[in-house]
Amino acid sequence: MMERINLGVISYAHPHAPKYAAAIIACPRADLAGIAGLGVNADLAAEEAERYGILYYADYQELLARDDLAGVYVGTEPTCHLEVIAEATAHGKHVLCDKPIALTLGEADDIIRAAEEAGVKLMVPFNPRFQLPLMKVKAALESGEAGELVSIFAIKYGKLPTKIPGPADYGWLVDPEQAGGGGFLDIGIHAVDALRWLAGSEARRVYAHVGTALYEGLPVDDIGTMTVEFENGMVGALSAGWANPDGYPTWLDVRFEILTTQGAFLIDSPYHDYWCYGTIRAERQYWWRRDVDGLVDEFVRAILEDREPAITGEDARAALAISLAAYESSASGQVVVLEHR
Amino acid sequence: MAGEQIKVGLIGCGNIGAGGHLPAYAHIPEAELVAVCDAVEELAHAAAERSGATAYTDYRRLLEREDVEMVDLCVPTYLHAQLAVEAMQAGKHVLCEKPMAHTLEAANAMIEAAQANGVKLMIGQVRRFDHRYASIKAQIDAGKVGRPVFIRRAERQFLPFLPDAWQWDPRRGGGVILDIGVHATDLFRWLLGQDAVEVYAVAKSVREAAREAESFDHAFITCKFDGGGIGFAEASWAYPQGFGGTLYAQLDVVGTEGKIQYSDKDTNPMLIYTTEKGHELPRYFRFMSTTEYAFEEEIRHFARCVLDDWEPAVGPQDARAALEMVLAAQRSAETGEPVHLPLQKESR
Repeated sequence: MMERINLGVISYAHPHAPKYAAAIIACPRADLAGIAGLGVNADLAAEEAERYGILYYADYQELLARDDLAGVYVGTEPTCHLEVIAEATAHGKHVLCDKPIALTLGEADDIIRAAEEAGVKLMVPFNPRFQLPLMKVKAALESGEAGELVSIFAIKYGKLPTKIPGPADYGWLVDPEQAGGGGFLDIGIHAVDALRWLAGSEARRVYAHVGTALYEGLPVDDIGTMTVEFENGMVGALSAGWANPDGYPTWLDVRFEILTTQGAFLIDSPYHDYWCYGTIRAERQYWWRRDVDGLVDEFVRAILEDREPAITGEDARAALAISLAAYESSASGQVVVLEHR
Repeated sequence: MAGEQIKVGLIGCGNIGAGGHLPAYAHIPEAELVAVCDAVEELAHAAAERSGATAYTDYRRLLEREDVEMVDLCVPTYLHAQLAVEAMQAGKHVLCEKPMAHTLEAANAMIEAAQANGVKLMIGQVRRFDHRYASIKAQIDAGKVGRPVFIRRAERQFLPFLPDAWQWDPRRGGGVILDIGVHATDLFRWLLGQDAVEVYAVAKSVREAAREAESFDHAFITCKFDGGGIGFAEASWAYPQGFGGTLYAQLDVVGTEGKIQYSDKDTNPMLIYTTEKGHELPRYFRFMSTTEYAFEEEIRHFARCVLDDWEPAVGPQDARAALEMVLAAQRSAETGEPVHLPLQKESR
């Protein structure tokens, strides 16, 4: 019989939480054992637990106290990550922590250390790593058939998170105190990780403009552009933010345009889709979010096989460092040179 | 006025001269191509044969012709200023290929010559005459996307010339930043309606030809504008052959109330499947970067400017500004630092 593990979900603050709950349920090697509400959208978390017929915990500590629980998905605001992860790791639970890992590198270090000391897995889900087109590119780069990577011209756009349909409150994402940044950090960090992952190298120089250009009065940035040079010479050029207007036919707009010494890859969407036309709106529907399933599966396998997950705390810290460098460059008007430990 | 026509001398019968401009004259009732010139005799004669114009190998002889009122300059960039100034001193109106020149001093000399001789000068920033971009500009002007705040542009191809071609040479052509980047910088200014205050670029020499010529063939250029707008461009000659043919261009305009997305891929209405080649996108235009119609519109517009005494849609100051931005980008790529505008003279 296939070995299975129990996972829990802590907090529905993050818009991804419902997707991870569903992916855990769909995962053949895992069961969703319980959902804990913490902070905003706790009522939504309770409703989902009821719908799924699983236990709901108003106090996440009670979920963590369960002996049959192997790990948790942490979907709190990033400012709560350290506290929750410190508790989870103290209970010996493996942690899948949504991005960004933290708002400062110091907190990221504390989170990484907590997991290390407890001997548990820490993974941060960056979706592009489990999107089929980018996985193909990575494989072609690793096999050498694509030659050397020259540059990636990428975009990662979404809509304003406060416009996510439904009753949930995602207002914290536009609060600089709780989110640490706006659209460029929120959605861009996925692409930042993808640039670093595909480059297979560390970022060296970062130049960026990040600002509030689309939504007047928004207390955080809504769009940013960054040029990042990696130690191996790869150049990443990224624009990211909440640049999709309401009428855009998908929530996301993702492009990776990749030049190598042997050719080029033009990736226009992260997912396979089809068109759905209504009387007023036309929508492109994704027929499978394979990446979320893939991320959960990777987390579960890393636990079962007792190995490092594909995306580590250090990866998450590096992506945060690049994103923070972009904000620093934008504020100073200078190129920021990153040092590596 | 209807029925009027001006006589034109085309100088430079290379890729753009013979391939882009020359065939356009057959469709422009306002202009008659009467003289063609190239320092390479075979090119001049081939152009003459195709057009019925008289061939010259010395542009001075062409400029001596009193019936020629307009000169169309399709020579390498480093020769623009010298030839344009001489043509204007000879009383000719000048349509000159982009980029305007290889230095700001040269561009200034062209502007001064136009003023001093009372003739018209237009630089062939041909994107402005391309139906794709004219349509997008009209949508922006109609308020369809609100106020444009961010423009992302890609112009990518495989430059098919040998390493000794002037395009690769940093002194004669300026490499990809000047030659292709100037399309992006002009597009940014035009669509945003703002002036640039800062330019940053990271560039590489990817292909062997670029490394041999010690020139950049691949660049990312960021332009910050006085109204807060940002332009972000990839300009490249390093894409594989074939790729650039049908997938040359991309343009995204992000506005406060909407977004425009253009890509050659999405606009290409046809796929061809064959056993031999698999599937391919057909090439509808000789240069996918620029349609035949864009060259026609551009030349026709300038002929009308001469005939009807209009101000050219792309003024010399516009072309100079687009040039200044790419010169700043070139300097930024060399120094690794952002460059502020207006461009200061280099101290060295």
